[in-house]
Amino acid sequence: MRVLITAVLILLLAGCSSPPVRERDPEPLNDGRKQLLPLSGLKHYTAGFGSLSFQLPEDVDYEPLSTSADEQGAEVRTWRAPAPDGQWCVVIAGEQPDYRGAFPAAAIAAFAAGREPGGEIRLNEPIDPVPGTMSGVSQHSQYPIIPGDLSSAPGALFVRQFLTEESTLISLNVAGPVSTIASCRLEEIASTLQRS
Amino acid sequence: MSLIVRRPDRTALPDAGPSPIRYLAVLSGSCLAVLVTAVLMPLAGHGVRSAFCAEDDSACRAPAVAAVSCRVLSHADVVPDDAVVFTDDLGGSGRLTLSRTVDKNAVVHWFVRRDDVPGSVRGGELTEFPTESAARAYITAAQHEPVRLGLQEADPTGLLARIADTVDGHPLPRAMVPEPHAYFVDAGSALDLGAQARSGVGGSIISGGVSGVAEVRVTRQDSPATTIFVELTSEAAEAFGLGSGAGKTVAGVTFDDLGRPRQLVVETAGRLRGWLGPTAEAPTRLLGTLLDVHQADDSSDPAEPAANQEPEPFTGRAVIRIDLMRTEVADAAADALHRLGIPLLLNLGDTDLRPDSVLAEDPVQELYELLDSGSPGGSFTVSAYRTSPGDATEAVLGMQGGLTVRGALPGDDFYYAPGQGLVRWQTCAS
Repeated sequence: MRVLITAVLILLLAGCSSPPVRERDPEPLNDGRKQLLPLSGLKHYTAGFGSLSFQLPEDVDYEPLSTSADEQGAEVRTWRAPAPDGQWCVVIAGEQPDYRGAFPAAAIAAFAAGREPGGEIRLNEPIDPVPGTMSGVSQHSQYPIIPGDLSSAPGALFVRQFLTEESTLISLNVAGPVSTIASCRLEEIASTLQRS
Repeated sequence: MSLIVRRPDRTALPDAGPSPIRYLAVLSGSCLAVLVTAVLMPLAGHGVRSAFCAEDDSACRAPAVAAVSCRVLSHADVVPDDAVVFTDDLGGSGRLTLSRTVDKNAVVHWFVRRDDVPGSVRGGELTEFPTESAARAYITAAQHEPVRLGLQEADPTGLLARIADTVDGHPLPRAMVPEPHAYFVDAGSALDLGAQARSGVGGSIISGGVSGVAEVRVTRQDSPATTIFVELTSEAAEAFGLGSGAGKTVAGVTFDDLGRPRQLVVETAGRLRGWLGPTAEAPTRLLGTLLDVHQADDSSDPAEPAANQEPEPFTGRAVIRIDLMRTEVADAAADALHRLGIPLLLNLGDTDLRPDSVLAEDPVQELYELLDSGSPGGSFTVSAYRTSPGDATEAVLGMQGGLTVRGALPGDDFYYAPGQGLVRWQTCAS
């Protein structure tokens, strides 16, 4: 009898000490900050070892400007589309492998500096990571395009960054005049960065 | 036969306390333990306080830096002085750096920078102290912190932690400094693509001169500000001519809470080049001479050293500081950064970087000429270091102005301070 009771106790304790069955992580909630808006005629670009991709609209004349890689293996690709008054809409995507910095703390701290008198930081906060990533940040600011000219039309910058599970920092940066946010699809392009 | 032996005669009654003999025995044993631990062991060279020191704790040894007992500068009361006293990696306590600065009012400030603060996601902290002893007390407390926190976690009752507080005698660092002077966040050489994208809206994309964002410093006290330090590529670093290939060159811009750039710092640490021009009475282009930055048409200048005289590199730190509220040097600095592909000062200087734009042939040299002529708003600091026989790195000195250095060790000589000309530099025995 004593042996039987001991065996039952061991089984019960073993059951209690085993890790509970982990439920599958739910999909990140759409809290209203990241709206995936419909785009017409998409070009599909992949970054970060195939884990993330973003999309450029075909009805905006984004031309590839350059592709570069530095000594540390970071790759940067740039597109540019003409905007009124000789200005440009710019898309810069970068992927930096083996990133060891404090993310997103460093990204948020750097963006919070502003860097332009008269500029305005409208969004600078962590966002839910997309599948395949550990953390993310969404940023948006407006700034004077012409230095010191606070009365002229400002520019807009939209940034979306994720740190993948392979420690690759994916950064998508879209900028242009505020008047072209809709025509250049600035915000929409940034919002398309997601898992392939 | 049952193996269980019941000993009802030794079972104490529920309301019975320990016998006087047991009480006396426990009390005597405790007193003996305290006597051995607190009195006899320290006499034998094994004090309790040393138990809180990690294996590599320098604060538990004799001070690594010999005290400088004499005045370093004959004009120290008017020339700002900036020097790192020591830096030490303490494992679980993080890396601690003690430095001092003499401001323009001849007030000495002591700073402790603590990297890799345990339990902090920020990365590092910078704290100012009024005296060296206060700074060193903080360093000692930081070294003891891992053991103290370990005791707190090991004993939920808090008894061990309270005993440790009494025996250690040092408060925890957080109790000494509730709010650090500044926070450092390790940016891990992250790409600074947002600045590149902003620059490209109005014209050419400024890029190519930055390897990545090295660090972000957030200052809370006094005037809130954020400083972004970027590491320059080897090509951009060469343009400043500070180092000799080894070491890193960083550029940092401090923005105030309104986004206005207030100060630019370009800094190189490692092997530096430098020497003193032969005609100390005429310090023309002495700064350029010190930095080994020569213009081709200056070879006939008697103030320049002969071309075949290659300066001996020395270990040290060279820092250029630009007050960005001063228009002339700020514009020159912004032009230099733009031309080198460093997108830090997008709102200053000449941003018209189209190929046909008219810019100085060498904006870095133009900036140096402004500094060399004593233009207000610029300063230059060289700190030279040497290694003591005990392998502890110590600061020899650091000062503002073009520093005279011959070889790896400085000696009694002159240095050049913008606006003051040549002043005497006296080396102190350490």
